[in-house]
Amino acid sequence: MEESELNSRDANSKLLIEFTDHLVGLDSNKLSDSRQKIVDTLGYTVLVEAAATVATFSMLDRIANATGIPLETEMVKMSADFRESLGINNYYSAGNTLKS
Amino acid sequence: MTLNNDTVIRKEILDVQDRQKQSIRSSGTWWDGKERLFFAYQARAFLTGETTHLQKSKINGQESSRLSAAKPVIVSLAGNGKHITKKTMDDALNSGLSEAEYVELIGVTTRSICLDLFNKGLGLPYTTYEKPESSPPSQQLPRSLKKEGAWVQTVPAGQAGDIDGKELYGESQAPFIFRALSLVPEEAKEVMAITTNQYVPSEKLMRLDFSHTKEFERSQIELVAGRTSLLNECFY
Repeated sequence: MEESELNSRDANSKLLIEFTDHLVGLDSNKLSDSRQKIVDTLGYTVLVEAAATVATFSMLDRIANATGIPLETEMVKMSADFRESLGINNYYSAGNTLKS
Repeated sequence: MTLNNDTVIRKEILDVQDRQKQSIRSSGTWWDGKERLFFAYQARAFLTGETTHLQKSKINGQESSRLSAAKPVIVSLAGNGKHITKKTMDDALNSGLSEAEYVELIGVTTRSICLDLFNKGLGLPYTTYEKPESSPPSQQLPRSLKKEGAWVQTVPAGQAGDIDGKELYGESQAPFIFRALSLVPEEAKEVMAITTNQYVPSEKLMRLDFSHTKEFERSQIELVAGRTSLLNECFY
């Protein structure tokens, strides 16, 4: 992959993260800006799909946290190397899986 | 910025959201349509501050004890995924809700939050629901319930799920997130329908090149999904 493509992908990822942060955080003013940036840079289809993904995971995350479902054993093993460094093991909901 | 729904939003998303609009205003297994719509408007009020429909959704001008027990759960759900704890459920059950009522409350409320966040993301008006249905709830429990490790009972996938499991998940080894609300099968079905059409169908989860559109690649889907779960502090 060319360096210019890598830089472009990196910039696009930052736009998507910014949009996600503002939508989950319900920051209307900032959300409006990041929405427009996505449309200008990546197009309407990406905006729609990104909004659908945030909406879907906001539903799924709440369901998981409200029903106390544990993570599947295989996934626990596969994610062990990065969970600690990302602080994921400290979430309240980690207790549903990592019971003593 | 104006968005033309019909030309920009994928048909599968429009269809599954229309299905949610009908489902949320309809009577369910443990709550009637008026109560379910109350959950949706209450969640919207806490999530966005939008209270236009909230007063109208009050049942006979006052809340029943069941709705009063439901309210703190809705507040926790609407506040942010990370504010939900086991105490949220225990308090609801101690206030008189059954486990099945709690599960349906979670399903309806989170599905309505999903619709509202989608529209918020696109700068569109919030969902308008038609008049609620007031027929009595069906009150049917599945027969193949098990304690599989969640706080609530669930219908297992595979042989252990028997007819209920087969009807819900088919032959697929449904991940726990699809079984989470299976105490109320209709809620589990709607969550699976949304996930299939707005994220990835379960049978294509491990096909890492799959996405619904070529413009939004799977790596971008997972970036947004992962970031959302991080903000909601969801370990699962």
